[in-house]
Amino acid sequence: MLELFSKGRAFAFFFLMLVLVVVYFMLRRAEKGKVPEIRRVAALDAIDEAVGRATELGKAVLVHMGYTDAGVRGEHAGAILAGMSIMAHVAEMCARLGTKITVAPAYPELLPYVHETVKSAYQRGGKLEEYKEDSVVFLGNQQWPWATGIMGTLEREKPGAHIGVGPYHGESLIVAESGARVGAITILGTHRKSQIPFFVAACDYALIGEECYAAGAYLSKDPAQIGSIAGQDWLKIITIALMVLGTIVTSLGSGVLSDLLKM
Amino acid sequence: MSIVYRRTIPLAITVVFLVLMVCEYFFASPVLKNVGLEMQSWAVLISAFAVGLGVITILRHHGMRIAKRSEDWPMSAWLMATMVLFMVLGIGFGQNNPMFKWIYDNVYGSLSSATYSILGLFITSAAFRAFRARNLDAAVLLIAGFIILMGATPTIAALWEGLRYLSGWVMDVPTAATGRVIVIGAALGLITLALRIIIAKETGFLGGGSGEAA
Amino acid sequence: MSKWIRSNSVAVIYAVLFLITALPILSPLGLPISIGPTTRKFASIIDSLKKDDIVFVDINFSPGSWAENGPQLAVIMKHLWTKGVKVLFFSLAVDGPQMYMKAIGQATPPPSLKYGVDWVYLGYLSGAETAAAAITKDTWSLVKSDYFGTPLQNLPIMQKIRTAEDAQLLIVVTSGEMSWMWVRQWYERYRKTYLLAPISIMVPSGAPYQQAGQIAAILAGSRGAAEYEVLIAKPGEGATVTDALTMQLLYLMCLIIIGNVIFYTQRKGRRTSATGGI
Repeated sequence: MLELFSKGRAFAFFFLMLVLVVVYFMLRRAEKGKVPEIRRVAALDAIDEAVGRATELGKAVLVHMGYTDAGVRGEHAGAILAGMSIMAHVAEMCARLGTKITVAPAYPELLPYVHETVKSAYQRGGKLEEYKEDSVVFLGNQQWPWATGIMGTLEREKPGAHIGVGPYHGESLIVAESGARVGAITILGTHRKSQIPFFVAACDYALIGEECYAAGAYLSKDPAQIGSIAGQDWLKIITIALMVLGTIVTSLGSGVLSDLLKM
Repeated sequence: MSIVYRRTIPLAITVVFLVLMVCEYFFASPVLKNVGLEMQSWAVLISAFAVGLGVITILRHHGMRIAKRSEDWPMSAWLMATMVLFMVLGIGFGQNNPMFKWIYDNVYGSLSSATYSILGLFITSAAFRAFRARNLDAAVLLIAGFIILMGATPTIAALWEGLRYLSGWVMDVPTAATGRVIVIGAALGLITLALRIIIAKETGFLGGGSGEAA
Repeated sequence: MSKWIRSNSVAVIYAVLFLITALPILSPLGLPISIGPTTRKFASIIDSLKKDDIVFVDINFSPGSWAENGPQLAVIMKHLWTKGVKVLFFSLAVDGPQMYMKAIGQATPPPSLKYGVDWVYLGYLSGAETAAAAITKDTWSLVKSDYFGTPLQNLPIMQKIRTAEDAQLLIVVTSGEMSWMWVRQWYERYRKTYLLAPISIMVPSGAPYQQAGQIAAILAGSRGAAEYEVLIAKPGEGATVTDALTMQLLYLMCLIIIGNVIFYTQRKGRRTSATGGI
């Protein structure tokens, strides 16, 4: 049966199947009413607070989904999609509260979706007549032009809230620090571990790694999606158990587990 | 646009290609390998189009701003003029022509380097503002950061070789361990997000609300 | 004066930083550089290449990171020219072609080496990871001509290069964008040596891959380039900026100490006034 698989990928396949089964099981379980409790994520709770504060101060909200060279065609597409989910949530809030929103995607291929998402948000909020096409601005799809555009937008508009989740690169600190300098509540998040320290240092709230991917589910408060987050946690427990077992087994001189992983 | 066009069809396309590429990665089938190679070629073509799409989008966006005489429209006109000039030089005379190279090296290159170098300034001000030993955790982080900084300073590392090994230990053991944790957690989060997208539990990226099903 | 400094503290910080960066570049201090183990390993792997071995080099950065990646690429090129190997350059970054032209101007190949015979540049390949997968699986199916428009069949070097199986080494010079992607597309698929030359900030992220053996060695930013230049005795841009780098890092450490002293002094002052001076 192992001949069916490419070299060294059989275990990875079975583990992927395990991941899908566990997550799907927890999701369905939550749909049937057994909704697990998950911890509060301060950064995600702060999104609503930040938008509310911007509304009170009569200021706008700036939202973006980070920058990556390959856009949605590359390995960071998942993070961009997670950022889109947050953007959809923020757009809906802004529509309901009547707050000006500026969305600055760095990906031209996403523009139709971003326009559609913001427009749908206004529609769901019953304020379609207040939707403006200008709320989505394209600042460029190159790293430094986009980052400079974000800096300029922050300095000119001085938004009350600055929210972004996605795959940031070298421009992360520029974007984060610029938001802090204009006094906006800055909530930024990324899965890229090289940029997380910058967000932790410069932002009011930072989303780290998987918190970005869980954001859409968390903010929706949909039981099924919350169930999927719990499923993820069970998988982490399984992974930790594998690590502990592997450490013990390998320390005893057996290569069983490492051979299994290389299967 | 009906929900079939906006959600169902894009989702169906996503699922079909996702399953095909996952199978291509895991299974040793020549048929799947050829399908994978073909799809990779399509992806390369689509991404080449995306480069052009960026140009068209900028032209359209700033063209509208000029036509409507929006705020700061002269800036949009300046952007369009320089973009068109650069494109004419590059496409018409080749990327190796002296004028194109001059503009690239002395304008774009210099501006990019200048923007990147703002990082140095912001790191300095962020470090001065944020690196406070407010509590035990912050103090441990500060000490570890200092060890890394000293190990990264060429002259200090030259004066005491042991610092390089200490800094290497901090990078290779606690930092690498934390990095692995973040990567594993993010990977599990990404698979879960993909599953939610496939079963249409998360449609934020398709223009819907985050809790809306297709 | 101190009131002015306090109200313009950020401007003062930036001004001092500018001075301590500019002065060592204008008038080098000649501070000592030690060569780290990873730089030595990086150089030794390239040194171990044999004549006519094939090396893939991905030039994957933009002008913004030239200060770090530029010296790395130039010194790597200089070292490769001495080994008699065949080098396939390409770029998965849009600005790669300009970076190649700039680097080759600094690391001019010796007259004994000929373009098309000893090295070739394929230009920018769009598609990120899909392009990486395609170029390693079947180079000729992805690219029909080199960057200068010469068909591949007219290039003697390309008669020996079809897939990654023909190569012995991959070197990626990058601002970080595609470093880990190459682990999947090169090391995991072909189990060939992978050397990475990223900007300094990406080095901690590479540690797990280096420990796992997926990345053989990492050349750390401009400092790594400077060490490499000293190691192979081919001075370049890298060595000239290490004095400025040293001064900047020392300044940063001083600022952090000053910041903490101010923090604790102010905290003590607040506690003292809260307790009425008791």
